Amino acid sequence: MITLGIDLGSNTIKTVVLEDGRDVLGSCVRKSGYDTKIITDECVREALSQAGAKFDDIKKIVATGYGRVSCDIAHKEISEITCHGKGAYFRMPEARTIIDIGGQDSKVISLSDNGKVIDFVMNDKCAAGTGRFLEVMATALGVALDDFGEISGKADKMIDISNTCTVFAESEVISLLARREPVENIIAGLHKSIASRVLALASRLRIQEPVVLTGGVAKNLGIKRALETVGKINIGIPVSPQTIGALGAALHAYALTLK
Amino acid sequence: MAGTQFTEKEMKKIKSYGRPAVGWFCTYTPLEIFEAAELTPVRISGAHGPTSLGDSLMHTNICPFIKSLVDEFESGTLDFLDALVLTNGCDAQRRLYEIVRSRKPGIPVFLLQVPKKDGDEHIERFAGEIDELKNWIETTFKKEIDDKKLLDAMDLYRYLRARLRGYDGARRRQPPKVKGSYVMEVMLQVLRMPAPLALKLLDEEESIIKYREFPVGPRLLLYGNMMDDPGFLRLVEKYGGHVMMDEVCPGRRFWNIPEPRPDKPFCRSLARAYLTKSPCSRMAASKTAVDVVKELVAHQDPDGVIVYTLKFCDTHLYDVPRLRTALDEMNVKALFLESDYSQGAGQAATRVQAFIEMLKETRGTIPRDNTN
Repeated sequence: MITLGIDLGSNTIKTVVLEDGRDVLGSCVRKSGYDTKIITDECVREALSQAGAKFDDIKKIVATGYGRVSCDIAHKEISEITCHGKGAYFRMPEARTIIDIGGQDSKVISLSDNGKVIDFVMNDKCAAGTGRFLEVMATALGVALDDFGEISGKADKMIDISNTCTVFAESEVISLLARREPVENIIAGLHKSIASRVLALASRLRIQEPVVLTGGVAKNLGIKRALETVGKINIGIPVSPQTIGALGAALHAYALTLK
Repeated sequence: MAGTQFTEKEMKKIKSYGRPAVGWFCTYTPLEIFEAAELTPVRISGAHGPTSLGDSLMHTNICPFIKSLVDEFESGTLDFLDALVLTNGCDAQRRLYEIVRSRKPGIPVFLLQVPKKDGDEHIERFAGEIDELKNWIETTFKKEIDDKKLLDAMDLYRYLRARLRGYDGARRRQPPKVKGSYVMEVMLQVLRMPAPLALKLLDEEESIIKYREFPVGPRLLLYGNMMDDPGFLRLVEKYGGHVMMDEVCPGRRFWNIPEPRPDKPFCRSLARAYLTKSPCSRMAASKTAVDVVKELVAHQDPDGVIVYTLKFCDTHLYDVPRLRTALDEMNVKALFLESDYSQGAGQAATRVQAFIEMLKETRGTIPRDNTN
């Protein structure tokens, strides 16, 4: 039995095609762009083609993410917190804390031993401590975001950068460049800035290890390193961290078919 | 320019009661005095949208509710008020008093000094303030408030509050007879009309809800400072939550007042009743706002608590860490939200939805009767 999960994030759209609530047959990640509906359709088609399945094979569809309310093909909309909980638990059942850093928000979720969400916190209405923060900085530095992880690995120190406002931090970065600070140290500083912001958020909950990192930003290993250094914790990253939300949605869709 | 709360239709309705209109919003304002002088109490509030004029007159760190009221005054929609009574409830309200006094000379305004404690000497002081308010109303409207009029008004409000308590209880039946958002809508109407008409409205509403029933999801206690947005409660309901009780202004904090004793001097009876009502977090009275939340959680056993904060309300925010600890110790799930008094924030929607999903998973829905 085939189910589909769609995660309509602020920055990217993710789809996961799941068989019998067990095997991921296909998945896709695309930039959200101007027309969400067209991109969603493309994303669904791509995941289905990987799975070798047709749209009519899908039994249930669940949507999550900011765009969840406007997804007219979904049978149900579920918050991204519940979906990240389900997805992360499926991939790493030992996980007790999930740190999800997405395009425009970051959240920390506590899971019970049987994988249920027992508490969560989200960032305030601000892009500091999110993927958007890094995107703005990538533009300011003239460095591709995908290279952040590798470049920051060469840093010999993490520069202190303000973590409360994306706009102020951007001008700080520009001043640092003017002072000829090595770019790897600046990027390492940016990672530290996000890590301390997210860990401050997490401290409102009781952080229980193992901790897993999900969301698009988890692809950047510099963030993992910074979280481990600042928080003195070990961080695990599941397979395909960016599609964990969509996976959780597909799992929820499977649960719907059993009702 | 930002939208305004007081439409032409709303003003016409208020004028149609044929009484002078006096604005108020702090629940420490003794409405009995207005009723005794045959005035219409009009609870003023702002539009739940972005502010503009308020921002030009006040600092960024001022309560967004007060700023939205400045928008209403500056845009002239509150010019129909014949008087205004504010309190020293918070700094923001005192700034509003100064703004209205300097920019709206046509609206007479009174600042009621509400003590923070409820001991005998504070009650005596507040009685003096209420007496001063009474004299001010008599002079401003050239009316005499004698003991009989005041006693009648006290009786009327005692009855109105009892009826509101009863109506509010309908949402704690099993199954509930009314939704939380609807209770708030009725409440907001009641606070903008003379008490005799409010009683009529409650008669009608009670006959409507008699035969109604609603399915119940997670039962929530809503705690907050100023919370007058039924839209937020509808959001909670959309995701399957049921706000079965509130401890907010102007909800329970309006009607949960001990009955004033019919002893003379009446102003002292009123002072005692108001200072021992459901407290605002500004109070340092024998019972604190946090005590009340703890009591409600213990008695009502809600599935979860939503703590709703209007930004920059310092006294309320100082309570938040204590509240967090208290709720944690009582093992009840809580969602802390901060709002800028504008509607429909997507982030609030995600938090509310996730919170309700979490409660459904961890608490399930156990039918319980919470009538008492």
